[in-house]
Amino acid sequence: MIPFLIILFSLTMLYLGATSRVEAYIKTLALQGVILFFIILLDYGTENIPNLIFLSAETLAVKGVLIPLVLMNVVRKNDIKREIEPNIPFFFSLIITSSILASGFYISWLMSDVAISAHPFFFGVSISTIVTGLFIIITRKKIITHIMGFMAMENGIFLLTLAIAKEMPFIVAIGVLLDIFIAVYLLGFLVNKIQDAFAGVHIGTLTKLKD
Amino acid sequence: MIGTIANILFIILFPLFFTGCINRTKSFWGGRQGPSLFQPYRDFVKLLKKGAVISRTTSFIFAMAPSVTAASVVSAALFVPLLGKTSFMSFDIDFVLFAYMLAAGKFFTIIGAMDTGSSFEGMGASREAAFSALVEPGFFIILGSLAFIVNASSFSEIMNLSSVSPDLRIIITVLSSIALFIMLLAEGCRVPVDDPNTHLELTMIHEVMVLDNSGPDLAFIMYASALKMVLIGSLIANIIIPADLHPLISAAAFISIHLAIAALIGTVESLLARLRMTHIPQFILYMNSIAMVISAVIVLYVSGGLR
Repeated sequence: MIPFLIILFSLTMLYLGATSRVEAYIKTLALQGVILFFIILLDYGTENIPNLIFLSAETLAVKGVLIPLVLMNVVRKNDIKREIEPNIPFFFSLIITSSILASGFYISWLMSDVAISAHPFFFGVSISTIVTGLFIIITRKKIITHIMGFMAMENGIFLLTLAIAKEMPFIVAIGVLLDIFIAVYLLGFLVNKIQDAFAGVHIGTLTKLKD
Repeated sequence: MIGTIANILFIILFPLFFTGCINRTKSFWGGRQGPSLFQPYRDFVKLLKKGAVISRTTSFIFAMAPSVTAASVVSAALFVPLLGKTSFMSFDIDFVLFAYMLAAGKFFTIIGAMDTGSSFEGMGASREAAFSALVEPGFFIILGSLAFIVNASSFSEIMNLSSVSPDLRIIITVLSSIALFIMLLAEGCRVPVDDPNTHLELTMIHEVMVLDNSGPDLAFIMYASALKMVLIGSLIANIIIPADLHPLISAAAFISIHLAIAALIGTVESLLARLRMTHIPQFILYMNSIAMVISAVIVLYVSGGLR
């Protein structure tokens, strides 16, 4: 079941690579949170029950519910237009995302020779998720989509830590939680402020900043 | 013997019922009572009784095209495992012939449309050719990967996935169902690729190519496009249904999966808008990306020792 969930996760990244709606991004991020929740539940093992409960509850609540709600709120409050407006056409965006995913699978193929306890899909999909997140940040024009690319990257890092450290220390989990939360919160405020100042959240306007 | 007769009846009768189910689902979402499930049969018979009007600018190709299209789709149906997972004939690499039988039908529709000399029909023909060229690689990658994992090369053997481990099987089933459903929407010219109800030539793909056909020709075109959807739906059903079921149960599951697909198409058609023409290639490209994922996963499982 875990390989299936990881593949499903990779498909959501494929969707993020070429969809044109801001709200679809937010819903996909929520879906990723739910998928990560199920991966933790199935993968984590039962030797450390409190840690498992904390980690899964945190994933579901923060990644699956809270952050999407905050982002949705930011989008609605600022009247952000629904279109993403990438720098390159969606068609090429999708081709590049697919090739990143393909190289991720190549990495898992390399990993599958090495005897490790984790499933090789973990590595391939999480590394391609991180790179795709970076790609989204590079190619999209809106600040809000930069936040979402960052979120997707964070999800990839989370998946990677799940693969490497089976018993992720409590403090790391809290750190990740805090990191994400502060990022989204700060960036949310930032978007609000920029909206007040420039009436249009678009990085094109930021290049014209003057004293 | 009984299986063969049932399959013949299935090929002849079911496609129009499938169309009826789609229309009924659409009327359900629209809050209407809707036409009878058997309305497509009545339309079919009505069209057969009519005479055909053939433009004087056309040549023999235009008159021939609809019949050739219908014939090639029916011959493509001979290779697909239908009710009870039995097909009429089966030989090595028959899925290539299946794809090219469908392509031959499409080719004749296209040159039939070009033959009318209408600029709109030429435009539709060009779109149809472009989009179906995008569908083909995905189809071959999926079928090739499945052939690779079951180590066989004919349709009826490829569709027997019982030797595959459950972990891999669920991945293959879900991903290839999604990919083949996108193929179904693209090849069957349904929303979001094309709207079968629209009558504005600028936005049409398939419908614009058959604007000049009438009477029995139109009946054949209707039947052929319905049968094409049923055939691609059959691939989805074959991948989902396990091979070791009792033939009757398997046939019942086959029909119900088809009905579910019809309901899904009707639902998609009612809830989604047609995509902009520039966004269609990327929608179809999703199918190729998913096919790429399927083949990557299969190669990993086989050569990476995950089996």
